[in-house]
Amino acid sequence: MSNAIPAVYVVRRAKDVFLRLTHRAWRRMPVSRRSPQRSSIVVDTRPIHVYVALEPTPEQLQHLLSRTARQAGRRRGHIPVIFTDSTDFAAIANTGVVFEYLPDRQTWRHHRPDWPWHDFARERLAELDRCYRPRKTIVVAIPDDVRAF
Amino acid sequence: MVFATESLAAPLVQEAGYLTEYITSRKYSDLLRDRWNPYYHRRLLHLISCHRSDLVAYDGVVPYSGLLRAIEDNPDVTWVWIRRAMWKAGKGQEWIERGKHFDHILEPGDFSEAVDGGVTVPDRAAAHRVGPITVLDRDDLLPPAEARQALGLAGDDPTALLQLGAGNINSVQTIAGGIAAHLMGKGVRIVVAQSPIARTALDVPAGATVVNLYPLSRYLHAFHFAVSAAGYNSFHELINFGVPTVFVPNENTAYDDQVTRVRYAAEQGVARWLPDPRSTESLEPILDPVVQKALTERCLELSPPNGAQAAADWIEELGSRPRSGG
Repeated sequence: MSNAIPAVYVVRRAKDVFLRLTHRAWRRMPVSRRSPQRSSIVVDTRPIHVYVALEPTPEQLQHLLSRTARQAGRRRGHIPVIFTDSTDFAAIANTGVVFEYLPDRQTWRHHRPDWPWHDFARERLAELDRCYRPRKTIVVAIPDDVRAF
Repeated sequence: MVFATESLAAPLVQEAGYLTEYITSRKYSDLLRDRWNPYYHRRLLHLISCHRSDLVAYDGVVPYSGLLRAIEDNPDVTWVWIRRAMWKAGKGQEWIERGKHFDHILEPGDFSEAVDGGVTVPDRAAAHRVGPITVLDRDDLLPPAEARQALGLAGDDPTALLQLGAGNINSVQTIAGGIAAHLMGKGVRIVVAQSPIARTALDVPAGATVVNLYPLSRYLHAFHFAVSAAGYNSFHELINFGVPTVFVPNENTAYDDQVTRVRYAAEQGVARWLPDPRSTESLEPILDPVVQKALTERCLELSPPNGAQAAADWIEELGSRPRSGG
């Protein structure tokens, strides 16, 4: 029987030693350097623009979706957030933008007659402002009673 | 009552007559992914405040950290976790431990719960249990002729419902496509269910019919049989409504143990299954009307009653109870 160490054993030992050393080096590394690279699409690296489309016409909504879809796919520029009462969720989601939904006026009035819809819309707008801290708010469509505040 | 959901099906809930709020989903908003839990927390707080909620029932497998923070911030609200069972063995113990944050747990039943090997089982004593939940009751379904007419299916030719989730149906290279091609070769009319929230059109073989209706279960008696994945809703609708079905369990789920669910159903004689979805010759027996009739009879014999009303009653009763403070 030969006393030579089998090649496979040597390779396995070398691999174990390498893994131990690299693991120690990894553990000594500052946490900040251990973190994986962040994606280019990270919300806090770009300003947010909120697009308000309440009771929009189909044309207004379509124009907004094509405009924001282009923006959402870019690495630079701003992050679009659409605030709308449109129920065309599939079309909106297809654009890849963040969207915030407001129950429409008729539905709201039916369920919450105690709270005028335009007041609720304003409350949601104020909350979006607090939540996203947008650099810009772009009004695509807004009813007069919501605008008047 | 207000529904708040991350699902793109929110408009369907609204159309059904409920006030519905949409919570921007992590799934559809890559842009929020690093901030989603803080966002979710904040959104929940705002919803609870706006709607003056006394009770929040959360229906999902994973109680997000944003949800747990909202629970901490609202000790006066009654929190219920609607937790379906049949998780894959050994998966999700960390989520079970989050159950202690809730005041109550509701477990909708599962036809195959006798063989459930998941981590919800040892925690069952902590849960209030009801029968398997379906949107509709048996009485809500249209009779066969009316259902076929509503779907635009003339005559009474052998007709199969195919609902296998993702996969190009117009290619025999895929499981769904292979099954569709095999059945059409046998003279079976294929109806493919498209999700009402699908974001792209389905590619189906020539001659197949696509239906996009909600709830599709209202029309299930239009079909002589079904070939279906075995997610909770589809499985219990097909079993409870006596539709002869060949199940093709989706093994690529995170938690839902479709294989165990389907194997038990097959053992009980309420359904058949395709362990190997590419061996389409295993579909042959379901083409036999005698087999179809036997499956239907067994389903109607064994399937438990719909637990939806019991669940709604229990939640309503919890909502009317004064908080005990613990």
